[in-house]
Amino acid sequence: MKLRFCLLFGLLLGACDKVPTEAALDLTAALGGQAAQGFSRATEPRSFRFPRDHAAHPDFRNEWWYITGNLSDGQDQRFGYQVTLFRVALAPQSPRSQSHWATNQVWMAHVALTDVRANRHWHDQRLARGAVGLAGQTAQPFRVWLEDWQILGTSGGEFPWTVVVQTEQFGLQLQLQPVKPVVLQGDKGLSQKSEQPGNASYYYSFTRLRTEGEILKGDERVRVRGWSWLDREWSTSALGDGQVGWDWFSLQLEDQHELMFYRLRRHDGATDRHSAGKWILPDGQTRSLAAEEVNLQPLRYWTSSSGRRYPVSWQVTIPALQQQFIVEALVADQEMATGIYYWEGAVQVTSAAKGESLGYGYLEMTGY
Amino acid sequence: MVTPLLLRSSWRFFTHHPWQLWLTLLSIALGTAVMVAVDLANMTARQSFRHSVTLLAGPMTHEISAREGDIPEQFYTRLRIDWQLRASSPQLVATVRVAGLPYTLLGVDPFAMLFQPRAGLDIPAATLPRLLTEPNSALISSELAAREKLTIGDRLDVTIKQARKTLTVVAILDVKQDARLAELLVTDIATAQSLLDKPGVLSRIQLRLDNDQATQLQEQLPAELKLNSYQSRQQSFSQMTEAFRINLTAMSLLAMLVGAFLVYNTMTFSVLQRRHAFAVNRMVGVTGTQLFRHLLLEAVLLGLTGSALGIVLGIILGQGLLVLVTQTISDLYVSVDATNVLVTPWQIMKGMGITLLAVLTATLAPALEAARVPPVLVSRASHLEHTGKRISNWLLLVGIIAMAMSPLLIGASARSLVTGFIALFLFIVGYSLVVPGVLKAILRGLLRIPTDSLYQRMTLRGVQASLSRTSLAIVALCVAVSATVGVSIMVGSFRASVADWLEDTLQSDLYISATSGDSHIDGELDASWLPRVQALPGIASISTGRNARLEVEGVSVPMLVLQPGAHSSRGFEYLQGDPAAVWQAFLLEDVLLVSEPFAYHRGVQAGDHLTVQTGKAGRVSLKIAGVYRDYSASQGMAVIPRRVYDKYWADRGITTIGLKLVKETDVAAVAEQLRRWVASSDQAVMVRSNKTIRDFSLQVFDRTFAITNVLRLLVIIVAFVGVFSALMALFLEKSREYAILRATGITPAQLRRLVLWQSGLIGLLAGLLSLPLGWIMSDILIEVINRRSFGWTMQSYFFLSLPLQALLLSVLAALLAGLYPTQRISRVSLREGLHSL
Repeated sequence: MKLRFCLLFGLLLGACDKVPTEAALDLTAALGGQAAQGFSRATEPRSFRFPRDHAAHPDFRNEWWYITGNLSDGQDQRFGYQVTLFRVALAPQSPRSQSHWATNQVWMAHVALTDVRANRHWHDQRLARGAVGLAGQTAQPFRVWLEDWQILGTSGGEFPWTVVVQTEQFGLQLQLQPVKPVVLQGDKGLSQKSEQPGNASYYYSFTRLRTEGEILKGDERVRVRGWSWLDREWSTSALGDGQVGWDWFSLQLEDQHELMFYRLRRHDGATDRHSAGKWILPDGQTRSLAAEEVNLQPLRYWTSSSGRRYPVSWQVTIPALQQQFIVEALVADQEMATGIYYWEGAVQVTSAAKGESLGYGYLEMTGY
Repeated sequence: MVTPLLLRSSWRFFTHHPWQLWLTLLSIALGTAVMVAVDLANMTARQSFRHSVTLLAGPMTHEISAREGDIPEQFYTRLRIDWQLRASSPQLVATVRVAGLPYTLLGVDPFAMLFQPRAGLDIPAATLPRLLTEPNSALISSELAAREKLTIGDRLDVTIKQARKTLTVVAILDVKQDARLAELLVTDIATAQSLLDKPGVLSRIQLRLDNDQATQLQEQLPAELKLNSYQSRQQSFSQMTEAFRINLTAMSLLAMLVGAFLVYNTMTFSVLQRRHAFAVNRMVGVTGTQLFRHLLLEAVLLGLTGSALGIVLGIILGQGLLVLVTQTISDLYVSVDATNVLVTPWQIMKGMGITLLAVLTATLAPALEAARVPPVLVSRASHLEHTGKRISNWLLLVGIIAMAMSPLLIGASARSLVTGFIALFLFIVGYSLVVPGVLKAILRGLLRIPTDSLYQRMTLRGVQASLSRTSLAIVALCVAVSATVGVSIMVGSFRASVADWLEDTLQSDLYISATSGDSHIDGELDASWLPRVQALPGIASISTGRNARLEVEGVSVPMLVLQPGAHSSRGFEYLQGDPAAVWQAFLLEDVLLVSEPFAYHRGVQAGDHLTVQTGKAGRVSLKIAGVYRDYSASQGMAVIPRRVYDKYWADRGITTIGLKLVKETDVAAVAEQLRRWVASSDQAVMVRSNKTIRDFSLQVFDRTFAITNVLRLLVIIVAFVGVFSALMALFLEKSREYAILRATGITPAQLRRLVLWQSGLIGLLAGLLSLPLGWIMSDILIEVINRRSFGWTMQSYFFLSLPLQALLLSVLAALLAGLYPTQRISRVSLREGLHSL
């Protein structure tokens, strides 16, 4: 999940030089840029232990809890949601001070809800320091929060997790329980970012979380259920040059397969060879996918009010797995107009051959 | 509608009488200028305050602060997360010193207002990491950077509570948008807590709330915290300074009134001068309506030109007045800081509008007169002068009625300041209407005095004959001079009252006070001062004072917490209550004293109870033991015994120590000893004798009235220009008459003397007539205007120099006006003078 690196750096550190620069980015881009010296680095595979590794790793510069999901009320209403908490260390050590406000940890959160029937997408963002109770995380009980937006686990730090978010437009109150084992991305959880050793992250996913709960739209409460996806990643290093953005797919098929694939786009439009993915079988077994094994073909574009032209319909072909499907945005406008502009939204997967629905997923596109 | 014939005749008239045109324009311009200048200065001062409130408040509407001390920081987390009030910003504020000058150290949480509609302070994003993680990193203003020659990365020494700390400059804020930023040092809140050694607390939390949220929060708020809205702060500023602003506006309107009299005079005069031309016009077919319209058009053109000039002048003048206005507001109320007048189209339109209205009103009568008269009669001046006489009888009656109405109006309008001014103006206008009649009577009386002097007769007759043309100029001069007399008596009485009061109030010989750069918080004397002072030899008694603020029924007023010494009882002059009983109550009971303005504004008296907000015990009802004279706080203040304060408040600090010395003790020697102690301590402390304080207070008093003096002078200048132009036009018109006199054998020197005598007489009459008006004006100013503005009463004093000054002033003005015509008379040859015959 190299992509998320760039997203985070783009948002917080301005490391992706080709990431569109917004005036607002000025703020977030500024949060960092210092040398990585003094931070821990991901140099070799580690032994992941849970619930310990659900908690934060503050000696690494960046970290996130990234949850996306597709939910429905069992009738005609379908929703997509995103809840992401980012942690950034501004310096390796916390400043020494008698003040409780003094900290090197800054937290950022992005949340979104897509109402497919209403063809609407709402989103919100927050930033806070990890001090005086405004934001932070604890292992036992498991809790990651930014003000009143939070992800809560059991007192032992285990699943089920509860996601609680309330914005001016919508609210989420969801319970998440994995039905498949953890997937360690990359090489046993070490996700190499480039040739250089240490330029890597620790990265694991829960690709199928049974989700139940309530969505609030204004005064209306809707009971929902469906599937969510969790990505956890922490690292210190930045990406190399040459990339302009990425297209990231996390698809959950009804036959209990999942696909994760990201394509890094280079200046010339070519696919970066560090692009990669994983095909997860119903029993939790995985098969790695190399850059050249997946062919992505944009079919239709949508232009946002900010002037960006995003492909909102794709043909995904994986010859080695004899898979070919169409990935189509459930709502065209799922652009995140935050510190940095990107598109992150719920998609439907249909068979390229017969057109029947195969499942749902999330798509993230940056650098447009 | 407008005939070219009339336009041409106007043009010829004014090009032939350039002096008259310019002086008319000048008097219009000056009247407008004074009015516009005061308006601009007033508005700019108010805007400046509003701006200072909104600058740091940004989009915020409310502020939470502690009733005493600071806010525990956990409250902020609760407010933001549990109570969901996310439009909130925590701050820690303190005054620090950089190179001896006071600066405000402002600790903020840069994340608090991110992603919310623009916050007041724009912190460059790139500085956030450094601000958060580098110890003692700060943002400074470009002004400070320029003065101390600092760039990013440099170090800056600051003094915080006598301790020297070093800040690192991480960014420089451009202060072009607002000068107030210049006095800020911005840091992260963690840095501020650590620099100020105040971990765990906040000074204030700014919030953006709607009315429902504010009401709800008010109910939820712990008792030790309070919620204030910025709007109410703005309103209280407006209310506080209202009286001051109304006073200034009234002065500026007086200038306009004087100006309007002069315009009336000039227009009447110009109609008189052109009677031949108008007669010819009428004979060739110009109708009366056309003539009327034409004269109004002429007035509009004069008004427009004059007011345009006046606005330019007014902006320049306003710039000057602004300094005085902000100085006075800062001395009397709260610190405001404005450097440039703000000019809005609305103010320009208002200034021009009022001027045009005044000019048109002033022209209405002469224009109607000129239009109504049949063609043949227009040419006879006598007709106009006759009509003038008939009208003057009628005006006399109206004037007497207006003057009589004035006290009735005052009596009927309990406390309204504006009505007080209306009554004052009514009296002035009424008096002005009576003046022409009185003038005539005086001249008639003077002529009855048998005399052999031809000059005397000629002088008196000359003045009498020209009354229809000069009486209004005399009225204008008379009003202007009376204003100066009235205001001088008022200010003089006020000053004398204040001086007496200071004499009574400052009972201690020496005062030791803690000073603070921050006007909101008074300094606190170090606890070691009191025992040290007590140990000094030659001390008769010691009193201590604590300057604080008291919230009485929702309004905050200054409060003095007094621990009286044996000498303190003599420091109060009670307006209500028996002094001995009041003092007994002050020493023993749960009471407070309130100042006269407090009692006046709140409508309370000795014996009433007041509900005050205390620090420890919530709301407490205290009895008013007495009402004392005080000129220090125009909004009123309270004095509370230390004993009562200690019972209901936790604060134990003192601001001032007053020392009464034993008679034979050398005051200077004790002061010297105290100053040595000050020099050896780090605290900013002042040692002052009662004389120093008295002198300083009177100096502030004089500064406060500097603007009044300037305005008074401006009114005189307006009148002077008017009288000058009226008399000059008169004398110039009489050049033929003078030529005849010359022809009958009078020498130029004799003629000059005659004219000077005449103008001197006019000045003398105006001066004499101004005296009663000035006297009554001062009375209204003292008894009505001052009382209603500030709530204080004062003794009226008589100053012999004032009437003499007034007479001198008006005679001088009139003589100067006569000077040019007399110069001309002696230069003009007899033949030339007679030519027009």
